[in-house]
Amino acid sequence: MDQTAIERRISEFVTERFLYGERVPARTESLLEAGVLDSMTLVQLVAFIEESLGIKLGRGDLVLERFDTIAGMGAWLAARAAS
Amino acid sequence: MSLPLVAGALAATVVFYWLVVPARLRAGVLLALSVGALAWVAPTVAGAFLALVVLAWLLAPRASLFAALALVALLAFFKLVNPVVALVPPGAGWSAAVPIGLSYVVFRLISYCVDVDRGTAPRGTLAEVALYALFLPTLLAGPVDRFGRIAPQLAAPAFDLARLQFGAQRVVLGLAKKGLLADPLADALAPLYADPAATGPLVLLASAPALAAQVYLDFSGYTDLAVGLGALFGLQITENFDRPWLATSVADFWRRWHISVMEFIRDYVFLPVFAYRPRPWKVRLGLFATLFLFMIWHGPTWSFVLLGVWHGGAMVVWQLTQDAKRTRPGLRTALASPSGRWASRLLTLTWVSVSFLAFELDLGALLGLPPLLP
Repeated sequence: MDQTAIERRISEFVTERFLYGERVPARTESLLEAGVLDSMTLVQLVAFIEESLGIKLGRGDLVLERFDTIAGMGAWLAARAAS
Repeated sequence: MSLPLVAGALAATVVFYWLVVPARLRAGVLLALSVGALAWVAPTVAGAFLALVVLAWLLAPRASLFAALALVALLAFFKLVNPVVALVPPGAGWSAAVPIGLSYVVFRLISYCVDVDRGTAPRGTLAEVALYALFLPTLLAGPVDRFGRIAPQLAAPAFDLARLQFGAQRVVLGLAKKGLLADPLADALAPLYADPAATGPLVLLASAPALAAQVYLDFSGYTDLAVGLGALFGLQITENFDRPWLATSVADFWRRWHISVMEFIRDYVFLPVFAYRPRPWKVRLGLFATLFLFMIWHGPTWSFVLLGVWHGGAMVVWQLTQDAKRTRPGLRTALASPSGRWASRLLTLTWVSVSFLAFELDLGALLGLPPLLP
């Protein structure tokens, strides 16, 4: 799965699950500053990444700042999936 | 020591620090002032804290997990057994401060070890790590900063007139909150809690908002002092409160109250333990367990056990409400409306305020429970 596909899937998930379909977050929008990302939404995001995208995350990966933007997640997860 | 004398000594120290001390030596001077002041009050504690810093710095690059676990064990030992209190001569007047200072030093060193291991913080020099862990204004009530965030400032604190003015204002604000508001309020409330049975449950409950205000003014006053004193010496200390009384849920409240410790628990306990391979039951258990642990950290008493159940349970209910909001648009709309938000604020304020009574009352004795620990 490439970066674009990962970003699209995560954007759809964030839109549907955390924003109730009311708006679509920008790629570089800070989800932390927007109040979208916290420890609870991160848990759901981690479950989605592992179960739907098939990318397993380690304990050390679970740092809130790593999930701040969709673009950042896309780049990081694409590199991780490729390695 | 009188307030004018302390203020004069502080002003002279700040002038000396910026006008006489070369930039490259400022962090060292700040460390010497912090450790020196601590050693003046409690030399054994200062030595023990320095030894912890040296051990953490030596172990961090290669054995950070071992160091972090050893620090957790050390904190648990002191919290449960509290051997230091037994060593303090009667009337020394500082025994209560020792475990509190230890907690914050240990939290900072755990954070440092884990972040170095994760690659999110540099190893730094021994002096930088020591200043990060032992900066005097942050010893008593935090905040717990992150080494990766503050390390660039520690290398050579830079003069900034605006920051100096900001620091002076925060110090005055902190002193005013503590001395003019929190302490008189505590004196006014003390008779109510001296004999709870005589006061009666209704009056106790009615006093809860005033008690919550007193605790907030006292605690955030300490944070103002820490942030202000840090700014006077060129350090940007992290904030610890964000208008907690505007919180619309218990979860929101704990994102706004004692922020640095709650983020510590989130990043080093909740996320790596309960968000790793997450399952709904595991996440709910994690929400409960982390709040429960946070309360027990204050002391192994029935009051804090009950507080842990009170707030941990509320977090689980909040999570169930979040789940319900996804499938019930009506609930979502109602909670997001102005009246819904104000009702949520009122409910949260009431829930939290009532829980603060547990800090003042020995709930175990009131409920006739045996001591939690022998």
